[in-house]
Amino acid sequence: MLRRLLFSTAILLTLAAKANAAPPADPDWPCQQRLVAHLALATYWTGPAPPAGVDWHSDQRLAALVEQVSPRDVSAADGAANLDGFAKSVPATERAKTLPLAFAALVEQTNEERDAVVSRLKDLAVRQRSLAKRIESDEAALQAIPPDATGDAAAERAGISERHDLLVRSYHDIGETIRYACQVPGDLDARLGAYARVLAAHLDTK
Amino acid sequence: MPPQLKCGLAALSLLLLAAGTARADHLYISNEKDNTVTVVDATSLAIVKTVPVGARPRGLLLAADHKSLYVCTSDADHIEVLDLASLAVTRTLQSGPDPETFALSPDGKTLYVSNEDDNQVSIVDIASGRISDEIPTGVEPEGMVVSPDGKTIVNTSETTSMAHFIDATSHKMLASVLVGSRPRFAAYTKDGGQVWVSSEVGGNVSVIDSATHKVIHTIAFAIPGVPAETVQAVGINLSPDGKWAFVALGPANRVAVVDTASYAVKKYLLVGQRVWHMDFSFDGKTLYTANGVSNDMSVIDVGEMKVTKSVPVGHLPWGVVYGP
Repeated sequence: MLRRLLFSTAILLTLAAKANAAPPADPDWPCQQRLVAHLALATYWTGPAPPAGVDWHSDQRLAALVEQVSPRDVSAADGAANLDGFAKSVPATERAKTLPLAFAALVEQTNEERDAVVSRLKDLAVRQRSLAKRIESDEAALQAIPPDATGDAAAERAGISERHDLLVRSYHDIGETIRYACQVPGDLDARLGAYARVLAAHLDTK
Repeated sequence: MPPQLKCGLAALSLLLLAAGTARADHLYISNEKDNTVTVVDATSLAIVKTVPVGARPRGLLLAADHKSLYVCTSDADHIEVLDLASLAVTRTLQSGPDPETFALSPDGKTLYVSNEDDNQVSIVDIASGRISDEIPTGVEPEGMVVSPDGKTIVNTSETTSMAHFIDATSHKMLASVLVGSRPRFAAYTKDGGQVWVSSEVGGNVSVIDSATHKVIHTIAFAIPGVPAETVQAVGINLSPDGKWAFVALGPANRVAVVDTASYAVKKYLLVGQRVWHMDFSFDGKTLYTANGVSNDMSVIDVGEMKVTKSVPVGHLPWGVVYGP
């Protein structure tokens, strides 16, 4: 019983905290940090603008580079080392054009990776909210049947209790997944910044 | 004079010279995730030491005598005193729960600590290390500053979006001023005439007249191409000559340079990611920023208004203080 009460209290406190917080941009966003819809090039980059009308996909070298460093499991250090090698290989006279284009490609691809994570996080938040409602409903049903009930009522109580415990376990499991997954957009943001700094270091900014 | 003696005298002179040379200044950076304070030599920008401190270090303040550094260790629920000679934590002070930011009275004897979890400001007597009083304030108190004359405390509350002016003697609330959403930081101008309050969600700075408690200007920030929701104003540092205000804009990765006379933004400087708090060198010529996502400290040449260097520090740097 204590565990159930604690669970309800925790949900209420969470809801109260959310009610007190500044209005969220998206009600399904479960992470503490504010949701930024898309990462923008200018947030990281003050170098030359990428050349207009050039599609990086048609540049095989760039496309291969983006494929190598953009997947979520590529560490910032590995990706940065790869980009450093790429930037060095670009002739100095072409860097002001090629490196901004490379960064624009990285922003685009990182956004794709990030969008998938954000979407998954929102799905998890919706699922967790639905679980919370079912748990509360079960708790109300359990309150209505006395603990010392006998016969059919006792069997019904036992069934609800078993289902309730499973739901609570799922709720906490999803919470853990959300907690872990909430770090991913930040990690991608940090990695994109590191990539920007590597490329910018190869530009003559004077 | 025998050559050995000559040699000995030369070595002695060198030693005396070295002893007479002033100790280089240092930067102290709180690393929220690592539970450490990174100590960086201000001249060479090399890391001198990484000092373990209590859980989740955030706010930092230099003691009035410059001999120690106060560290809000938020999850340890106290303030630690880092001795700057030995670079070791030598004392802890009471703080109330979850201390994040604090302010020091001009006489260096009292700390005013915002306790985010229980909606109050704790007043800490540094000599005894104990809380001498608690002042109820707005919901989720955050920014703290004391007026240059020590007579007024200003505390911002995140949820109520207000700056509360409190009499430092009677502890009575003098005024509550509505500012932008989720106010994070407050700074007095040197003459005490204005209080500048940054708002993280509002992405702006409210300039409040200290005498009338009215907002006399709101400074907005807009960086071409940068999403508005990433422009989150947090740290504010007014230059020692009073001419410029530097405002940290969080995940916009920019520090805005504001002309304090016209309130116009002169420049946005690209620094590390999620720039939170900053501090000036003693001569005011250099500004240092703590960047929470890129895990580094940016160095800004104030005269040139240019970022000159990035120094990797610990994980999730929150605050930075310039000291001896």
